Amino acid sequence: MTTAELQTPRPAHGEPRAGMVEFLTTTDHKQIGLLYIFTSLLFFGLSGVLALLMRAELTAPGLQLMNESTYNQLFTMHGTGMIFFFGSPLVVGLANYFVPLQIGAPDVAFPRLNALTYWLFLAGGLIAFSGFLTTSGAAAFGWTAYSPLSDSVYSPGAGPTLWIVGVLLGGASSILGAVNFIATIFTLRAPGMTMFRMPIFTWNMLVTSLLIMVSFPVLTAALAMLFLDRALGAHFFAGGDAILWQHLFWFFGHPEVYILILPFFGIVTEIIPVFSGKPVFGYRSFVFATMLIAAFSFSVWAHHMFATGFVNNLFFAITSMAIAIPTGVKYFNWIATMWRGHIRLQTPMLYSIGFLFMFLVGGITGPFLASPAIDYAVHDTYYLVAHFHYVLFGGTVFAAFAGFYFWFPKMTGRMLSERLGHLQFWPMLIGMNMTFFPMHILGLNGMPRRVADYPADAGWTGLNVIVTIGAVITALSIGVFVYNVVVSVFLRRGAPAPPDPWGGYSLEWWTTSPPPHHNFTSLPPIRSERPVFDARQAAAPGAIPDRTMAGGDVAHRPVRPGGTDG
Amino acid sequence: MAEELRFFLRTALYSVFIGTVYWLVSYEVAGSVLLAFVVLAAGSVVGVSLVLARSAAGEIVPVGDGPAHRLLGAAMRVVGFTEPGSPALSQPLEARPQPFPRSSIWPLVAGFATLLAGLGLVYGPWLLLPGIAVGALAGWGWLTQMDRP
Repeated sequence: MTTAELQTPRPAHGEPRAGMVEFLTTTDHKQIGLLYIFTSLLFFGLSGVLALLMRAELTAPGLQLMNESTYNQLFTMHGTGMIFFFGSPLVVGLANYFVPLQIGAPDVAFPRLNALTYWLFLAGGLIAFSGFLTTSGAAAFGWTAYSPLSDSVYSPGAGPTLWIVGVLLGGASSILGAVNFIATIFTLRAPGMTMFRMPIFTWNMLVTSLLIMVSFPVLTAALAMLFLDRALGAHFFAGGDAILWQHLFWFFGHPEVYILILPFFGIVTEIIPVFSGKPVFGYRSFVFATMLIAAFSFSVWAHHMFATGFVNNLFFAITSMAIAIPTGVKYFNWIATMWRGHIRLQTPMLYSIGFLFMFLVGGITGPFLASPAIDYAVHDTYYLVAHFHYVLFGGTVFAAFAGFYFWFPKMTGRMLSERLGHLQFWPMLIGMNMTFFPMHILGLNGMPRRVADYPADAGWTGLNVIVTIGAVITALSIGVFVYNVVVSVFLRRGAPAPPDPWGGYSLEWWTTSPPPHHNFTSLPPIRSERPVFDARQAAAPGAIPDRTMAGGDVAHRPVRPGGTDG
Repeated sequence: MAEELRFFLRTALYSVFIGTVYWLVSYEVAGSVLLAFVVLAAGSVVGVSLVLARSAAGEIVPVGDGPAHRLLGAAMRVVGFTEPGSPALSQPLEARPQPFPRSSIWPLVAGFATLLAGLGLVYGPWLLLPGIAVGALAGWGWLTQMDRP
């Protein structure tokens, strides 16, 4: 690739817009990625509505809107929807779109299989949520489906079985997707794209795929056994070993938390260097910290089971607290990346900084809960709800919005409004903290989770009112995002996006917005983890030829008086 | 060794370490077995890849023409390793260039079949059997489509 080619203007839009039939039969990773993202956002909206209904019920003591059974269905399907049908599929959607682009590949390794994973995910989601249409209602045993509560005696009817089948299909979809990502990353990298030149998001997706490969089959097997318990009267868990279900579920369940957060660590790690005008600080330590988090995640599962009295608390307390170390490495690197950088507070960066603060709260309460003594005190209280919502909303959702604003121009060819982005961010930050911070206090004051009602004289009403108001503000802020998308894409008022609107570093910014079907018509020389940055520097005025590359290829490097890159 | 294999090797080694510690401090069967399976899974990837690479490089060639040779040759064919005497590959884990399909109806059909079969598991054979039939059709269409250029 030469400087002249780099400076050649490329068309802003690669190909004509795809029709409905093309979307239904597509095997293109980008269209499948968009299908994943769109569908997972629908499940996010649906699960969010369930959360708002729960908050409406809890605003005041007494049962105003629903009975306990309905409330149980709502929190079960809220958790199920957010974890199985929003978080994980959103990860897969973003990875579908961007992993092949970031490694310079034309598609994923198994395109048809990729399409199948989407349809399995959709089928799973529809089946799980179809429980609401049955006479007995949807599953009502919580997203953890503890035995014997989940057996056919305590949870009769079709709804719980539909939940099992739906989640099982969703899990199968994730496993097949993980196989595809690992094969893609290992076999379809562009020439020059060594493992340690891959963008951090791709690295994190590789590690996440390994986590999925190891953890989801355990869930699949456990669900199959639970299905046999319910449908054929087997006794694996109910009438067998109820604690075994907890072991199997959490051997999946805790890595699942990292499946939901590691890719979003990757997204933030893509954004912060670009908007700080610096290379990422400690690239290899980022990679190894990710691997270490993934490794630790397999040895912490029973910290969810401290209160059972059947696990070795000391072992799981030590391993759980140890996860803070590689996570701390990441925080250090994020801050060091921003340190003395030329920070641009555009919307993706704003959300990334919001992520740093909000995830930190969830991260700090994690080691508290890893202490068995504290866990005994706050187990099954709102403190736990606060902790994991700071992790999953403050972490996953904030980073997801950072990713949306960052990559939206690449996916759609249109920019989102910066003004609306800021207008969304601040209410979301305030609303989220109003919603989840008081839950810490409610939990410490003894309010149990998964209850539809509470005593009027417990002193919890005021904080519950604040929580509900916060939830409404958060929902309104997400409405601003929907409005922003509609105005930008559907009303076509968003400014056309150039190939590289942010001054990005990785290969997805080399191609058009949106990319053509085959992704690239050319690739720059890949000599570092920032090939597009390198090419941009080579094209800068004053660049001198660099003949140090193997094979005699000629690159251009700018003459700079000193200091670090850009 | 390629970084791709070291990635799985580290997973296996960590799981050996933590699995051993876990067993010694808890004597708890379920978790120990799960960790053992992580070792097995990650170790298998490393082991099979190394054997494939050595086999492709011609380093693993059954010597002789006796029953043991034929048995080893048959075993290698069954598990997909390169047969003795076949040309060596230049690299392990190397992708072979293949055309990417632009569209296919069969994943959608297979997904629909799964939806029917999944509901059939709950509501009975009247949905399960059509699901299996549509699934078989999808499998046939998928495989035959892959054979076409």
